[in-house]
Amino acid sequence: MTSDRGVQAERTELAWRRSALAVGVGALIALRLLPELIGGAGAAIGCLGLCTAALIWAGGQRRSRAFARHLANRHVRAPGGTMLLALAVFTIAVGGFSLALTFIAAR
Amino acid sequence: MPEKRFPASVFGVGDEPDARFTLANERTFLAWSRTALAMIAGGVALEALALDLQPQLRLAASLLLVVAGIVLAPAAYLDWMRTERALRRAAPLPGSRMSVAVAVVVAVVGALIALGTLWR
Repeated sequence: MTSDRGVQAERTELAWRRSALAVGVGALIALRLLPELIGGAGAAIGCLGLCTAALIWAGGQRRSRAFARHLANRHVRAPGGTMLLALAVFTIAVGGFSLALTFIAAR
Repeated sequence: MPEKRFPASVFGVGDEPDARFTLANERTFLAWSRTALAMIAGGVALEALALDLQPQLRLAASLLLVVAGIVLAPAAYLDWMRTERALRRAAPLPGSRMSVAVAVVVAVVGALIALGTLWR
């Protein structure tokens, strides 16, 4: 663990950005592939994915700044786990939807 | 300061750990989340791109990847919870079986794809 406490919040912000980018790239691929499979709904889902990616980016930034404030002053409370649960639920939803898509594509 | 953070089963326990460990725990969760998403995306791509493989083997590989991703997402969150609780209690960190599970899934999927290529 590095001795520069500020670095840890920045590393975490970058990790959130990587996650936002992963969702964003997935959304772009969906925008490319889904309309062939399920028509207009596919484009809508791709756009939803891009919005989610933006939300993850912004949320991660806000969260990391809250952590940075907590690191600077222990009396400022660190964030809780709501955003992590939200990301887990989102991933499950993407998985469930993808399962349906896989069966559609296999036909 | 009354504890209001979610989830109470984590933040209601023990004392506030060094935030650097909490942040490391969070980065680990994010890495596993990305792994889950990548597996799901890979599974869909296998079928959606209609790659030239034996159809049943390709579908099996695809489903295995997607299901593994769906399972990995909540597993990563549960792991985050367990680790955060252990940090708050200054207890030994819990072991995780996710690495082994992912390695096995990837190996099996690789084998299915290899066989699917041979038996086109």
